[in-house]
Amino acid sequence: MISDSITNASPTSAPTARDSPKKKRSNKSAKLKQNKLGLRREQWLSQVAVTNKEKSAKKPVELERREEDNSNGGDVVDVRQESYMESPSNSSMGGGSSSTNFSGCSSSSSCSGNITEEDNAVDDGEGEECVDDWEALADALEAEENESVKVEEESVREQPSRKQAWRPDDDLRPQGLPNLGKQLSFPELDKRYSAVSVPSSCPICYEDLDLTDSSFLPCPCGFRLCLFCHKTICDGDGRCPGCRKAYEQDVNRAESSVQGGGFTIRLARSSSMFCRF
Amino acid sequence: MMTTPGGNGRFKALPTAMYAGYSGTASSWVAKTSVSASGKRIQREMAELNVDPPPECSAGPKGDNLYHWIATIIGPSGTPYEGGIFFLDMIFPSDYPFKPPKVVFKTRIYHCNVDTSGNLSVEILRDSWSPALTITKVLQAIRSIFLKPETYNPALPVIARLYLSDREKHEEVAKEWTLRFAK
Repeated sequence: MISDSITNASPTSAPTARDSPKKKRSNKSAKLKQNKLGLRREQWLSQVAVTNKEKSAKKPVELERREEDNSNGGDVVDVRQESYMESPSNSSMGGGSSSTNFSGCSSSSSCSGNITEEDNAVDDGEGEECVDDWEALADALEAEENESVKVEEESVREQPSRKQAWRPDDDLRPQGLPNLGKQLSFPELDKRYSAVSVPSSCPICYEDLDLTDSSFLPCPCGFRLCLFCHKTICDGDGRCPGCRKAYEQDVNRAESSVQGGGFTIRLARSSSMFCRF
Repeated sequence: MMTTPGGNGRFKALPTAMYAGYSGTASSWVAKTSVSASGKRIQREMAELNVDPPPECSAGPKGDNLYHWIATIIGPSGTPYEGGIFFLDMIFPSDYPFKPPKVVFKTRIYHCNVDTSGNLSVEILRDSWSPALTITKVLQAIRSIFLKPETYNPALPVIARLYLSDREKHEEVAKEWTLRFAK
């Protein structure tokens, strides 16, 4: 069993480039992940029991990390489980002999054995398929691990009451909290302007409206046009193309008087000059 | 043909623009840009006409001059103009969207808004013109006066009076003219 598994597992560690059906692979990796996650849950339960017994809760976590580094894509879970089981004894011994845990042949054999077993269970034993799966699995497990380590650390710290607001990029931020970015735009105001849709190009000359043009609203009827066409019309009969009413020369002044201030009034005067020319 | 901008100009935008630009005496730079703007606008309208033509109408440049178009309108059914094909000349000024196109009936028609030389008396082609109007809308407006003449603004008041007083006689004459000139 052990020798078989080693020979089966050894080619898997060599990265081979091949084009196998991706769907199959992803299915398999998903199944594997599920299995592993189930194992993880059990493991965490056991770990919680361990940490309850032991005051030094950090030690197994550290061990675990080192293990993961050492075991190259091997079955991390089983090894860890072992370490967790043994961690009380390790800590009682002073933690110095922790290296024996995963350098021992029993753990490595169990990991390779697990590879082949699960591979057979999921698929009909295509040994080559394993590499990506295991890599993906290791990644997933590591990600989950980091997360759970964080969670654990927080729980160790007895959940200090949060006095800070959630940062928007915080991972642990609850999904239900409203996004502050949304509140910066005022929906009521936006609604008022979106009632009259802003065309992307001037309906008179078909040139694209730039930022100044699209914020330019010369007539209360809401007909928008570019500044050039507006000037040309003002040079002529000066009627709005949308409603055929004469452009109000004081429109700009009325708008600016709402804002107040000498500067804006001067601006309005110059723009009305511009129109009357 | 007196107001045709770039009458000898080619379809190419640049020579037309230059010709019309130098013909403008006031300031050549302004005239040049306005002509190219009108050219762009007319080309865009042509593209839109090809994509989505109005019903029973067609229009396009006469030759290689973008400012001189020929349009046809088919007489709408239910009117004395039914079945007739009416040709129109459309001449666009160099400051086109700001000034209306000049539309002239080339086919003779018995209608109170069309005088004997084919000139139209339609509000939107004169005082009610708006730069927001397009060739499509002009054609639709002309088609709508087939259905309902603007009797309050006639080119030939005699026909308007007949339309208001003796509708049957008016229809009869109009049908005869359609049969004679528009088919």
